[in-house]
Amino acid sequence: MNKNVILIGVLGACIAGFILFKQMQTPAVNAAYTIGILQTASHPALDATREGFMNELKALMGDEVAFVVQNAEGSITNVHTIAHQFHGKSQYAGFFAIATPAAQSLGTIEKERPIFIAAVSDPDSLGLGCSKANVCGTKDMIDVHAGIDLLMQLVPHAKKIGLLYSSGETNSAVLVQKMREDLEPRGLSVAEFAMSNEADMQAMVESACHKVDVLLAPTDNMIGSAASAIAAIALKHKKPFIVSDNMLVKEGALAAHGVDYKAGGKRAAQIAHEVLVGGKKPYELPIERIQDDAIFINQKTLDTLGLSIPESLKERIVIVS
Amino acid sequence: MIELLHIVQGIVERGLIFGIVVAAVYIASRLINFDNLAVEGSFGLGGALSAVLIAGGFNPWLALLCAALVGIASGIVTACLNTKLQLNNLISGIVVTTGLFSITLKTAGSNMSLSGKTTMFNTMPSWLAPYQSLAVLIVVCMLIFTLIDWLLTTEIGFLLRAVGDTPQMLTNVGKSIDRYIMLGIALSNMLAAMSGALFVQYTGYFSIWASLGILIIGLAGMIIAETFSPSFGISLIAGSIAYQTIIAMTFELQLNQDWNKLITAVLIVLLIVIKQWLYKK
Amino acid sequence: MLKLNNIDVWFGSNHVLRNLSCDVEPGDFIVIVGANGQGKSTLFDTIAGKVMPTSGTITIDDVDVTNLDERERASMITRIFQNTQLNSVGTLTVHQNLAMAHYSRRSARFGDGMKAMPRERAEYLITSIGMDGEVLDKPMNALSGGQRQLIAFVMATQMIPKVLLLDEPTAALDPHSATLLLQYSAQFIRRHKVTTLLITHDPHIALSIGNKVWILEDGKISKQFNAEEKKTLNPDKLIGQIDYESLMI
Repeated sequence: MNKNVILIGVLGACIAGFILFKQMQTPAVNAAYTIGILQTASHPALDATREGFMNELKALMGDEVAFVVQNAEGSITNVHTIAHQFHGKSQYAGFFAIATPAAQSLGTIEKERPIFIAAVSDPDSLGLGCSKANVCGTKDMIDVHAGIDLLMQLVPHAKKIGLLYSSGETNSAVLVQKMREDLEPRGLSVAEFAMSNEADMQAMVESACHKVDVLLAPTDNMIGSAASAIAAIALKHKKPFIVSDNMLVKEGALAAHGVDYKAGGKRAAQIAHEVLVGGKKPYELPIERIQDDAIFINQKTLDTLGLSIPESLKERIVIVS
Repeated sequence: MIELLHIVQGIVERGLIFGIVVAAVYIASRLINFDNLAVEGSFGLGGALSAVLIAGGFNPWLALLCAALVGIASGIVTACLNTKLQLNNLISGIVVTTGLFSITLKTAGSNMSLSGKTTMFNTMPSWLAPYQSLAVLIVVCMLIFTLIDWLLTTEIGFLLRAVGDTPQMLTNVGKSIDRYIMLGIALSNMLAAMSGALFVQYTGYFSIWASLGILIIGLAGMIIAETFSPSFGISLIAGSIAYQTIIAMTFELQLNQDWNKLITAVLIVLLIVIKQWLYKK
Repeated sequence: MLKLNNIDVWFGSNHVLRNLSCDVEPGDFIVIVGANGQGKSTLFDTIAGKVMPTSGTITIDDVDVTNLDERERASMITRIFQNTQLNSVGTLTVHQNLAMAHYSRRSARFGDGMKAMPRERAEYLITSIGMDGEVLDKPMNALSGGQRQLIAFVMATQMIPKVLLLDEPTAALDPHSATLLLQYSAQFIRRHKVTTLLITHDPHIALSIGNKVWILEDGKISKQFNAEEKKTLNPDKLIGQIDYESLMI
């Protein structure tokens, strides 16, 4: 018989057997609710989102909940593959999508079971928040005005602001535009610096440091990944680097009045609990913003730059070193 | 069992979509002997253009056709860089993919949702819906492959097959080598763009990052396909499906996610080794 | 009918063909000999259009072809390369190659690639050079050098050119294949009165085939011998030969 046919037959049988075998060993058989978690990529903000979600839901539901975590490592094809495979697992009670592509793929494929989202900037523009949807959760849309107020208070002498972002990022360009619209009426001039991959980062930041007084970045996954390196370069040139993700302040950025991804995951877990156990329908729960009042400042960076914290902000400050 | 069928369906669907990319890579690398690095750029632009058209309410099949046309244009540019400006093959492809990134970004932004729009995969009544993607993809792939198969049996097809192997032969019979390179590369990029258009409709959204890694998917699929048969045909789709199977299996294993890529690599080696061993017997 | 007038060809600082002029009459079968590196292949490259002369003109039947490239001259000039891989497509079968030979002098079509060479005709051609019809379905690169060169000759002679250039066609062949090739060529050339130029290193071939012998030396045609003068030439002295004595232990 044709050797190719034998090969395909043998392999096909192995694969089928393997998958059937795997199905029989579902983890945590005791759990009433298994949640499939689809993380778009490995990344500090997304990892924090996941941790926040898992810790909180575990705290709320104990042994009744079990998680299956899959990471697409940044590949859109993999995001869709995992989403498709999740959909086939009828025993999963719901899904947690971390970041926009995960939310979109799951949203396309899964129409019945609840999808909880987090770390998505603008769910409404994706058609995810519509009336009969099975989607709910949190979004990381920042308050641009508040972030710039912080900038003005910390660096009152700044004249020229450099906006750092990555060109392929959903919503970065939109946020950058909003920032520009907020900055220019205040009499500040704005220069934009966009990179399309991490290899370009160093050149771009060095160039920015020579041209502007302050560096400002919106929520942006690529900037987030490179944050500590960017902060180091900015510090070397004695330029303040202000971010929109609170966690990045620990990496060396000067300050943030932004979003806390871990808190976003945590709040998404609470929303999930209301749906799974509380009987609410996803479309009854609006997608929430996660920004709160706290301002994060890195003491060491602050000192190196020779800046000080104005009195008016003192109560809301969280010092990070 | 039902889940197994579901997984298999997903593998076959993705295998079909990327089988078209494998065909694109095959035509360029094996027939024209011109490694076409513009495949990623064309995949992205094809996806972006069709996303914009579909979001605008146009017929999705028309969108597929427009993607094909834009792919042909990219291919012509790539070939011209090589034949007219004497740029090396690889650089021509790199330059085009790089430039197309900006054009793609300008066309559809970094992400465009097609939720609620009519695509090739969501027009049927609900009892048939789960199988629509599979059916449509099978039809599209069969059409494409049959057409190319036919093309390769024509005089023009023979010349296409000759230009990578022995370009002198084209000169011997008075044909322009440059023109046939252009034809082959245009065809290759056309296929990549069409695959991008299908992918965007399949996932329900366009993302600027979707085309990252497409070249590797195409190459891996082609190499696996060549272990079945060295010539153009269904084996290319089989290779693509085999590669998708390996990736799907990696996810099914549900091990610590950081190991995923290593597992994929190991499984690919295993597949090729088993094949070699079976053939030695 | 083929005239080269004051042709100069330089490769970098190397003046390969120096003010070369010659006149080939219709129906001539000229054997060109010369030591290595004298420019024989370059001469063919120049005539065929692969290399452009820095000065001088080339005319065929009084038509100036100097500015036409190799592809444009292909309808008038057929060349068989010494490197047999250049004469056919390795990955296609013998039958497909024979069909491709018929694509000359017209544009390629979307019709069936094999239509130009029906099976019976292909089999006839193959058997007339002493090969079996089975070979038609084998890829060219599966054949031996001799078989490939023979088939290349059949392909090249599907159309009758104005000028036929044979560049050491038997150099890589065993004596039996070489004989077959030369017989086939001689027949073809005689029957269709094709104007031919042949390069060879083999003095015996040089003197037994064709009607004239030209010596290429120092970038020029230094000596020309017509049919009678040929008979007076000593093959051993013509090109020089291997010094067998020095090889003995």
